[in-house]
Amino acid sequence: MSQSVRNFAIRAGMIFGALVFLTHPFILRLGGVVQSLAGRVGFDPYPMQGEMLLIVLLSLLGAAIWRAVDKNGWDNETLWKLLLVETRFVLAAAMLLSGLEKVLHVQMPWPTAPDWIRPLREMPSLYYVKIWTGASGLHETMLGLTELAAGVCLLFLRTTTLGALIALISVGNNVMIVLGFDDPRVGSYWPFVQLAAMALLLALMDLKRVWEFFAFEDKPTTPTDARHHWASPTLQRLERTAKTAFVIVVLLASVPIVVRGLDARARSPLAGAYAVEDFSVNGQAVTTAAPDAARSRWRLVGIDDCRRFAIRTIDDRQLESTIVGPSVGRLRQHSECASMTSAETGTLTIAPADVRTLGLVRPGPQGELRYARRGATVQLEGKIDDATVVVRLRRIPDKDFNVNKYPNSF
Amino acid sequence: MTAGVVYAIEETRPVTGSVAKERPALHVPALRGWGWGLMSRMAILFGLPSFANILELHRVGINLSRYRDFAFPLFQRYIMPAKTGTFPGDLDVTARYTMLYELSFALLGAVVWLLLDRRRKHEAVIHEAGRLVARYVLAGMLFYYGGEKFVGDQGGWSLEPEHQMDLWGNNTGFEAMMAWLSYSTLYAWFAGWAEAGAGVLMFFRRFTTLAALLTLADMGMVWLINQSYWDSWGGAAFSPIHFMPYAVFLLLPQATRLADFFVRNTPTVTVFDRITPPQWFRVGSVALKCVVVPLIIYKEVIGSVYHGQAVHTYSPLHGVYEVVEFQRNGVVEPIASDFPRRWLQVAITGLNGTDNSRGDIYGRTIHDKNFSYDVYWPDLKLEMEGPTLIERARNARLRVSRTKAPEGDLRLQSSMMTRIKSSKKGTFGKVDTLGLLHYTRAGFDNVILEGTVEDEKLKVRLRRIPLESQPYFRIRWKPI
Repeated sequence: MSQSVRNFAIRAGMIFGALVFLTHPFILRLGGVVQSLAGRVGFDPYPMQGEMLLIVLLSLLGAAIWRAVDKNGWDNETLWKLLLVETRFVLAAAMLLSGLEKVLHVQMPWPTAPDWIRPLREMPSLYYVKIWTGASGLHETMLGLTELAAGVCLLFLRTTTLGALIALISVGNNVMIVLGFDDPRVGSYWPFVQLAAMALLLALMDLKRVWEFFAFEDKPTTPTDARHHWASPTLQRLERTAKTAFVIVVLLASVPIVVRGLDARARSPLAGAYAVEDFSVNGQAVTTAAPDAARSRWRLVGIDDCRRFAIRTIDDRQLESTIVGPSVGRLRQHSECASMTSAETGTLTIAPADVRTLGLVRPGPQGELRYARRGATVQLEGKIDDATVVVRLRRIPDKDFNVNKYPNSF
Repeated sequence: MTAGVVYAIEETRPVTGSVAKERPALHVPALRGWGWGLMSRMAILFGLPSFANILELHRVGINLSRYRDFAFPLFQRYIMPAKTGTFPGDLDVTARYTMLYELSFALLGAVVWLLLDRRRKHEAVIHEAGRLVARYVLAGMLFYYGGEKFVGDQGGWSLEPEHQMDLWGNNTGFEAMMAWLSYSTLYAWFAGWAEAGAGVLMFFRRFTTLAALLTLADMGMVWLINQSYWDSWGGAAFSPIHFMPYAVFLLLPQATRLADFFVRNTPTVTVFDRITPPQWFRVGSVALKCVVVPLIIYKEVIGSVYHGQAVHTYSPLHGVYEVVEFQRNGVVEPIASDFPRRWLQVAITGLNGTDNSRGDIYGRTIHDKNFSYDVYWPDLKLEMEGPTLIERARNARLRVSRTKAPEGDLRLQSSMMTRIKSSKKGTFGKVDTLGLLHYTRAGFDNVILEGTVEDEKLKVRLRRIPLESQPYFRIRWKPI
């Protein structure tokens, strides 16, 4: 590779790393902006593919502009070292933040009642992987600890290879899961492929030493240089402050994760699965005299923390509505919902849900339901879809569902 | 064989011509101290029965296990009484005690051995023997695990029709975990390669450390999944843990070197003992290895091949069906909550004798009650859990051939599931005929079941729910 091409590729790589830091769903999460931009240029059905393409194009364009304005800048060796440092820290940030999300059980939250009351086959496969992993505290925590270990190792030059190898195993597993469980056209593997490529790059940098370590045990190995030795005084000064700045950014980015983790401890007293004991429409009990109504009678209801209101009908369809809360925020959704529904009586406003990501689910009704909770019984009354319904629900204890009885589910 | 002198690796560089004339030597990590000697002996004693089985010396293996286990009842009674499992699926709590007993036995044996062999002149040879046992036992296990994933459709039963009707919240952790593991062929191959790849490396002394690390990672992952979803420190959780001592034994001599390389970033040097076996021994070992390695791979994988054949042999009736019309004793029952016992959905398995089946015909009523029946086959051969499982594949073909005609009779008996759950539904080994259903297939998607079951005359019209169109299966790639 000629020096010029190499110089261009390194610069493009550095811009790519910076864009990954900004857009990655585990780090600063600004990918939505790029995705909506991609949507405008025809990537609406597959926004993640569009996001990746735009990131690559922006990296190439950025490298060209950078070279044009900085012809006599840093040499290739310095740029290459900078690229490796950047790769190490971007990967470390992703591993630390994703690990923290897993340890606090917010990346793949506990499956909720709307998913307890439908069969597996109705769920999209990747969706299932998430709720299945979320169903075990031990599993998700251990995955998180592995990522945290990789992240911590990546923070130090002398343990970079170990961190890169752990990250490669951890993220490589995720790449294979996403490749195996999702439609490849969607491109949901890109966030993991980005990280796996970074881990691979770092591991390859030390490949010779690692190979000799494992394959030639009779040969002594030498350590890597644990210092950067920057030629530029600017970089020497920068090195001292960059790590501190990085730690501050990661700490700031982890604040919402911790808040969400603490919030997840709260739970609405309404959340759970219910058997429908009585169901009447416009004052009439639903009977076989009206076959269509009889088939559509509610059989089970699953409610989570002020998001999903799921209805399972007698003929085994799942209808889902969204619970419209006046002030339910993203960070404190559970505790706000718990406080909103803590009274024994209240009102739920429901609207048809966006069911695109839920699998075989139809949009549910809309309207307002007054609820009255007494022990294990909940009475719902109100007008939905222009009909007045009265529904008596009996709470099915959570422990009656096997999903709440997995060993080590914390 | 003779154990050579201890030397640091720097001294082994071929600096003079005389070195080249030396007999080829095996380098074994040098271990000094009685603790290492104890460990080497423990590895041999712990692994010998499994090692004999791996080499197809079953009689030797069984006898060794019998001698080893003579004190197990006393161990269970006086040292570590087994407690009842507290979690669903936590049936085999003895696994943990078995392993602790085996380790204790190996420890005791090693202590006696050390006391008898106080001069310890053959430590390098004993260490190498321990490593050999550990490597081959692990290699066999890794190929078994890998084979299940490559060709055995591990956990594929969890995606069979009868597991696709119940509410997901009612699935056990075991079902939920297998529904993940068996979903993707790509992922199964990946996981299989992670295991079999470590197995391949295990056959080479050079890659022992890498193979042992990969084994620990593989077994750690298997433990994590089993422990998280299947049982808590029961048979499933202990099945991978049982192999970890071997990997730890192989890694421990390298622990300092690993820490120096990966954590401390300091120079690493290994100190070796040299074993210089005679020429005939070396040639014989290579020849033996050429026979033993393929034998181990064959033996560990062939069962999965036949199991895979069995579970991929499907009856044309296989599928999930919606009950479009249901008559009980001549009365049509519509889909309404007034008829809680009306069948809502029916699953017919591949009729291939899949593991963990909920019954050949499994159904769900409107009020979420399940029922299940097995089809009685009078002329099946005994399916021994032997090394090949060839009878399982034959039985599957036989069962399926009986339902290839567009119509026929299915003689029903209580299913394994109902037999486990209810004492009223017959007992193991007895044929308790519950009725007979005549099936008529109209095309691929429509089936009528008609007959008398448990003293009720039923007529059930079924329409297939195409699983491949359901979200979970829509993008599934399953080439084998």
